[in-house]
Amino acid sequence: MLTTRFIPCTLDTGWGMVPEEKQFFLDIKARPSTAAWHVCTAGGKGLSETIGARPSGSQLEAALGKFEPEDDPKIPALSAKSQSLLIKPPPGTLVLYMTWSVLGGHEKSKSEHLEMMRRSLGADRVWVRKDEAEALAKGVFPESLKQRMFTKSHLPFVVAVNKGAANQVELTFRQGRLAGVVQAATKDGNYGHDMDVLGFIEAKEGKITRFDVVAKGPWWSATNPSNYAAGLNYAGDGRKYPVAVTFTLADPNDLLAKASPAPIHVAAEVSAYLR
Amino acid sequence: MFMTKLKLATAALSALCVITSPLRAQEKPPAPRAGLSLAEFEKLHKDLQIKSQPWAAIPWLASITEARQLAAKEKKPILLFTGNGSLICGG
Repeated sequence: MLTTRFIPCTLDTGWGMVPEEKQFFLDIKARPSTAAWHVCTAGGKGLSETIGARPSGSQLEAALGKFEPEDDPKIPALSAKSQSLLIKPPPGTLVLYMTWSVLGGHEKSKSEHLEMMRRSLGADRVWVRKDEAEALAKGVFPESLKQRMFTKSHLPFVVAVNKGAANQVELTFRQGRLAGVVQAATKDGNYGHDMDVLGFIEAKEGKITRFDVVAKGPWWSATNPSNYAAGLNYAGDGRKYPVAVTFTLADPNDLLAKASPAPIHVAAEVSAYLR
Repeated sequence: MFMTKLKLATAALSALCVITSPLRAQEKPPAPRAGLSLAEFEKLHKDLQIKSQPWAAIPWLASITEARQLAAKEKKPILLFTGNGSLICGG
């Protein structure tokens, strides 16, 4: 139903909607919330709203019952200023999918929902600068990319070990094979990870054709991370849990690949993220 | 006198061995890490693919303007999932 009878769209209200999006939100009379589902028309008429939980099949059917196709609805184009606010990768940027999951370590719960949340897969995107991609194709793993992936941006953002943790990254990259160790730990021992890394990066005619990297090892945290950490949000009790993280080359034309990396919104600007 | 000196030297040498033995034990290099095996790499890489997730099969648009344009063209309503922070980011 979601793919055949609706146009599915996701919008992050927490990271700076442009003015036209804010107006649309007002038009459909959406209430502020941390998570909600809205059924609405292209012209900006709200048909239903579900806050905090996904709508049932019958609720969606009811919303469909209210829908009437619009003739030539007014859809304002984004202004030049709004266009400038959109977060887009620079030309030539490679996009990687990053995923992570807690692999086990919990005592089994009777709650199916909790079990599902514990196993949930986290997902984000990593941007690789054009010059970094060119360096990879020549057999060099750029330090800036290493830092973006493992020590300054993506992995710390997810595992939330930014609390003065000492990072250690020892990676070798030879003949397309990346291997080594990524470690972090706070002095008090309350937060950290200790992961082995293995990956394969291939290029053809100067273009990256494969980027498959996996990091796996114990992760521990005295508190639940608050940074969109999927299953890690249910493992913050100080014990060590096995966690795996993957990085995979994405097709930049995939809809999934078009979401901007989460750490950009913390860095507040693309250039700071890509540094 | 000579025997006394010999006894003292032997005692000193023994004491030195006792002191240096633990130090030598500490100097042993740690066992090398096994690292991630190829089999484990392949399994984890396969299991943690974003496209294996049911929600990834839904053609989510990340632009409300694009969604509105497509909805108008296909004469369908928009199903808009909103959140406060990192929606397609496993939050």
